[in-house]
Amino acid sequence: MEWLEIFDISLFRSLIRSATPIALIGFGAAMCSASGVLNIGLEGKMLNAAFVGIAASYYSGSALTGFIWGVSAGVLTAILFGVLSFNLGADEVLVGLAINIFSIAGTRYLLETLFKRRGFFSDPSIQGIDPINFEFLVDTRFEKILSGYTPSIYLVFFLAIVLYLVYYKTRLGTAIRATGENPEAAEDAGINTLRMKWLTVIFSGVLAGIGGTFLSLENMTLFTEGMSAGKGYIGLVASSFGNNTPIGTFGASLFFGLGDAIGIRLQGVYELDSRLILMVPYALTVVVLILIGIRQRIRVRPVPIPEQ
Amino acid sequence: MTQNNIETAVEVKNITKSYPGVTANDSVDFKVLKGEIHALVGENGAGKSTLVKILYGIEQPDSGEIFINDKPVEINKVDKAIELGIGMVHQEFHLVPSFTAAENIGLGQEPRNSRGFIDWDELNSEVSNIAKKYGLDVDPKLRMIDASVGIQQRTEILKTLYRNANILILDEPTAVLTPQETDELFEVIRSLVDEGKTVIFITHKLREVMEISDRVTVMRDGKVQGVSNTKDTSPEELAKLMVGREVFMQVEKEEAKPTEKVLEVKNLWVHDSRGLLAVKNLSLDVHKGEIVGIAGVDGNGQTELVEALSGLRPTSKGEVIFDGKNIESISPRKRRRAGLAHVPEDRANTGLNLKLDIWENLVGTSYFRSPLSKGGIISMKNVVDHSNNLREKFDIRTPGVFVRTGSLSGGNQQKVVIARELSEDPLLTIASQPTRGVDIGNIEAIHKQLVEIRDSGKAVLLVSAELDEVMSVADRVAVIYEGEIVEWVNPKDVDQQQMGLYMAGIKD
Ligand SMILES: Nc1ncnc2c1ncn2[C@@H]1O[C@H](COP(=O)(O)OP(=O)(O)O)[C@@H](O)[C@H]1O
Ligand SMILES: [Mg+2]
Repeated sequence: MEWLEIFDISLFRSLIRSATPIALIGFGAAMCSASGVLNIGLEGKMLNAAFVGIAASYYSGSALTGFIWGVSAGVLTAILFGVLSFNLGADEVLVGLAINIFSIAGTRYLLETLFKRRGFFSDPSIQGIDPINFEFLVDTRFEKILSGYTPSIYLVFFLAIVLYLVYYKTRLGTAIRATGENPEAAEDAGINTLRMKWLTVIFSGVLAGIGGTFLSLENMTLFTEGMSAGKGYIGLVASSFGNNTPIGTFGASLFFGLGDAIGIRLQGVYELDSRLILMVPYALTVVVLILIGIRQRIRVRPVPIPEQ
Repeated sequence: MTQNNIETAVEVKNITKSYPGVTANDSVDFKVLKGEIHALVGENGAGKSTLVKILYGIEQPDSGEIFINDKPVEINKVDKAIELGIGMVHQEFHLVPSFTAAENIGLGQEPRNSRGFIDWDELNSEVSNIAKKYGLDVDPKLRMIDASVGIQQRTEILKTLYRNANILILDEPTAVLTPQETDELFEVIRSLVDEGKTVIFITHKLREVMEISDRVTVMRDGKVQGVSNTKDTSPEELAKLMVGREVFMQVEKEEAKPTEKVLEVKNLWVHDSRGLLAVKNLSLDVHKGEIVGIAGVDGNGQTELVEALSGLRPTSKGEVIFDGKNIESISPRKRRRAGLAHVPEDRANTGLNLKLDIWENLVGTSYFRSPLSKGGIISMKNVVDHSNNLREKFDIRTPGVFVRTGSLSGGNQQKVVIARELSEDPLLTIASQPTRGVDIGNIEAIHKQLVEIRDSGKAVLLVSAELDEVMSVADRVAVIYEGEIVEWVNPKDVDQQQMGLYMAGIKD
């Protein structure tokens, strides 16, 4: 049973790290879906934020400046999404796709023109975001589990709780859910449904921005072309798997993180082909989509016809 | 009455509202006294909903003034209407399906505790209290997906009361109810008025006007035709104002002469889209030379039955025999080929493509056959000739067949569907809610057409939620309740009261 040995603290830490960007995107996607917006543009928002974050950190030499610019890039991309789909009436899915494709090309173009690099960019003058060490945990049993993560990771746990409260226990939460389920009922109750949609889209932009800087400034300080690598889509799947609820999405993100972390560890144990391991998140996504399909199938299982 | 002698709850003066191509409200004056039940009647398309949507801030008038409690007001959004004490129950309910009754009722105004979180227990008990006060039986914790239509409607009424509405607008509330549920609703309306509320009650059923209202306003073509005290008027007079001429409610027809059986349904079971049983062990037959009617409140399996017969929905068990052959598993196109026509209930989505031209809709089921197509290529000349023939024969009022179908009135759109369906001289025509949203003039024409089909020796299966329609057009009527036929009746031998009981599933 030597493979069981991989279940240790470092697996847990790697799971949390993998789950974080997915959960950040997933929370945003869940709020958007709850308000009736299918936001597939999160992938692009994340990628833009990753690039702008690293560029700003490079030029300013400050991690905080990099973070702020990165999040702003996520928000600006979200505003572009909102203007195109709400104000100009374009199809949400097409706008999302356009943003994703544009972001891949746009960041590559800027990578080559600003930094004269192809593929990736890294530089000693880029300041990354440091992990947080809790003094009071030093030399306690919890130090290895709870201390020493970067800020976004703590944020994800905090958000899971806050969003849960907002979703079920505030007027804002019921207003968002009513907007998604029956906009006319919401309008009738004096809720401005357009404002709710803007709110969730901007919120998802902020989280995608944080997710983007998490990729480029936390843990590693580098940008690679297309470094969001489908996490925007996986986050969307996580929110769907979690029924667009905060806790459900969080759970689904941890599940994806676990798959990722196990893959990485097994690589060490069995010397598997690294390309096979890189495939794990996407294979898991397919599995989850199948599970979602089955769940829907079960929901409409026809009631049996009684025997005469 | 209570507050400072204000007599008038609502007064609108000279309201005009146009949509592209129609003046939905044309210089409308409308006045509702405090504490009264005011019926607003008119045919489909008369402009009733438009008028009350203006009062509720959903639509803005092009011109005109509104006074609430004698004060001039501008109602530019729903919030403003709620603030003025106006509440509205729409023709189509506006409920969030996964929310409970209380969650729907409190939406946007939920009571909050000191930490800013919603106090759900408080909301539930507030809702129970109001429900008790007005005799509206609703469980606050019942989810709307699991609620009957009657309960959904009561929830909608509670929603307005929770927001302290003093002026309640009910837009065609009885359209979805059985006669017994309607009586219950009337009880509620009376208790609302006893508590000092004012009620605007929209309907096109004159019997209801006579029974419940104090005063009545009649609209036609966007204009007010008359206002009077209900006790000083009669259904005949109101009908004349509504239609603009004498109406003959009775359909002229002779005794049916049924011959051989054309459709036989044997122990049919059908599931709906949610996987529930919508049609349960249903059997019926239809003969040439007769019109068989299916009466019942909407949502009792009629939709699924018709879809199963026309091939749009799989049957789960049982047999459908048409002209001597089993057809349960053959395609809709093959069923048409065999002589089965279908006028669907949802004209706008199933019956027509409103974005296409009239000619395209007219040949939608036959364009691929000679002489409309030759060698796989459509012959425009033949198609246009064919379309123009149908247009003439079925009196479709349009400038031409190269006109977008969506620009026609509801009645003329329905004529396009009927023309297409009858153009192939079918053995059996299944007509589902064929006059829904159609004006009275065209209703008469459609009823006459159905009788003509019958008299030419073909068969008709008429499914309608309008009790008067089934009873006057059909020769034999089956009452459907929860997917089962409760009773077969001869329309000449039963009264409204008895039909109401059957429609509620009650059999002596
Ligand atoms: N949103 C809209 N856009 C265009 N036309 C409309 C709209 N709402 C209503 N109408 C038209 O205005 C007229 C009056 O409609 P409505 O007020 O719904 O009548 P009623 O409630 O009396 O049946 C109809 O001809 C209808 O087709
Ligand atoms: Mg109406």
